[in-house]
Amino acid sequence: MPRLKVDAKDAVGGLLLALVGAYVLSQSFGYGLGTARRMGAGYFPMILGITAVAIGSVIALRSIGRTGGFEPVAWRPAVAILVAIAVFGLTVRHVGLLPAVAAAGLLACLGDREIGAIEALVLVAVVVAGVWLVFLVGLQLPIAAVRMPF
Amino acid sequence: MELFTVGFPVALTMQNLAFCFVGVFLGTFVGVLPGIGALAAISLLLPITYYIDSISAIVMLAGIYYGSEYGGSTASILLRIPGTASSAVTCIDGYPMTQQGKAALALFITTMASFVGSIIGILVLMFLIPIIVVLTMEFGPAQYFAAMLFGLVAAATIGQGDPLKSIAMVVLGLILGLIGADVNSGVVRFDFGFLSLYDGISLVTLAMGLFGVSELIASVVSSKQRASKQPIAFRAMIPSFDEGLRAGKAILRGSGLGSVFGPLPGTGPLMASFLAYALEKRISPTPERFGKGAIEGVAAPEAANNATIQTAFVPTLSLGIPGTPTMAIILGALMIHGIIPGPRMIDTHPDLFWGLVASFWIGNVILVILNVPLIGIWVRLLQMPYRYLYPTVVCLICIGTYSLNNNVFDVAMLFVFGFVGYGMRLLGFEPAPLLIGFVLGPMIEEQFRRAMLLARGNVLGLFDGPIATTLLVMALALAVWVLVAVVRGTDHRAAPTEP
Repeated sequence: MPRLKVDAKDAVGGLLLALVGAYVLSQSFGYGLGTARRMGAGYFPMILGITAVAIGSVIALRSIGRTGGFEPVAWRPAVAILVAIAVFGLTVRHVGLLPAVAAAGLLACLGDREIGAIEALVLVAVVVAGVWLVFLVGLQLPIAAVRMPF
Repeated sequence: MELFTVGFPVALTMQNLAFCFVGVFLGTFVGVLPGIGALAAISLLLPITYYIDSISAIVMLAGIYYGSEYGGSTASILLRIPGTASSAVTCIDGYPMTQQGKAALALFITTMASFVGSIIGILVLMFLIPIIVVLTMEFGPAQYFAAMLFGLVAAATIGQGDPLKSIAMVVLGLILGLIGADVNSGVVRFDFGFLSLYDGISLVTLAMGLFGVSELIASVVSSKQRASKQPIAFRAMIPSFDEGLRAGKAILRGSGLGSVFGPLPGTGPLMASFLAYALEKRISPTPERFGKGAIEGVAAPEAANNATIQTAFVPTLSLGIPGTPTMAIILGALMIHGIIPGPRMIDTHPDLFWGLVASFWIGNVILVILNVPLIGIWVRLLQMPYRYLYPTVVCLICIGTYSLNNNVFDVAMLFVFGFVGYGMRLLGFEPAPLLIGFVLGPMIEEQFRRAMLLARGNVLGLFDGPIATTLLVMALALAVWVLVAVVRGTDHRAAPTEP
């Protein structure tokens, strides 16, 4: 039997969309549908859910018989940047803005293979100084600059 | 003309001039930098305005608002990261222009487009206020619904990829817009138990995550191939006659479109720039140039978004209805100073109204003078080796997001949308239509609900009058066109090349 051609991107994408739509649809009943004249909170979600399922299915079905693959994933920058954001979010309340920015900046730098350790440290130092100047001194944001976590 | 008897004398005081300058400079700066936008800047400066005179305060805040529309396109063109959400469309043709070595030209054209768009917007504001007020009063729920539906469907046809996938993104955006408390019933939808989602997802966080973070991730690798230095000599900025002509016409069309959409509450620079782009693409004899550096694709949206921003003051000042979140803040600032915007405001506070309008003229002139020489500086700023730039931008995005509410949840959302945004990129879905769906979602639902109430549940009641009918028919026609293309398999845009 010949190997079935599928556009992987569209298949996955369409399927995900249909799943999201199904979820929305299932929840919409719980919000109260009402009538067309007096819509409940669930009416519009129901319509959207159905539409999403329909479109998602069409995209997924259409992918059969087409070719197409994924473009290469940039793992290193993706992980670095996302982790940087996560670390910022997790620490900013506990250690203050400046250390959190420093941590985020350093982690983000790791996303690029070519950056040297000294370069990164200097860059982050400049950024932290700039942040302090612009946001804390200049704009007077009500965020603690540095905090002791213990 | 009160503009000259009242407005300019007020606007040209040293104090108001100074605040105008500060406002537009800050606005451009904030617009250039991805991660912080006019909304954040205005919110942060709002407390400071308590201590200054109301006219100066509003002049400055307004300056930030329209100034940011000048700067927003800079990062869009040079880095494919929109400096402001409404500059997202400019990435589509602006970035390819950079790749072709035409960055200086693109930046010059967008500055000019922004200026002309603003000027035309101000003229519209000044002379058509009575007419516009009457027009928007004619707009009932059926008309708003039709306009928004058309806007949504049109947004999908701009997606560079597949129109079908773009419609999917619009629907996903509408779904994301459901999150939060439903205005009508008070029912909280899809909040997963998070109190922070009571008001829904923050637009800024969504835009930054979907566009900014995912673009940053993708660019770290691809920037290695980026052409590094480009001539930013004055000569490089001047368009050829043909380019100038095409850009000029696009600017006029974009300005006209923007001026129409600005006064309509609920539509904004984002939607106007999308529609201006779609219009250019549709009426162009050579649409295949779009997405590859067509100058009209850069000039029209920028003119449109500036025209929209200027005319957006119309409903705020004349009806007291803010058309965009940022307008809402400016409205709040007015109320803090004891000024109730509305039909009476022009009569009760003519110095504020005309002073503000005069400051628009002055501000835009300052911006054009500032921006043309500064183009070189902005370009140099954004041309630093990417590995210096992107960690800085990551930090700015984090701070900007956190500072909105001092809420870590916003950063968590940024993380989620960055992840989702990059995932969508890998799956070949365009994020831009999602943003439009998200912004219009709650409003289109509201109008749909009201229209159906008035129509007593009869769907045909939506075709109420010539405006609504025309818009709905156009929307349906576009949708059918997409369906037909899918069924026939004539999606030439999505056709992959065989290895």
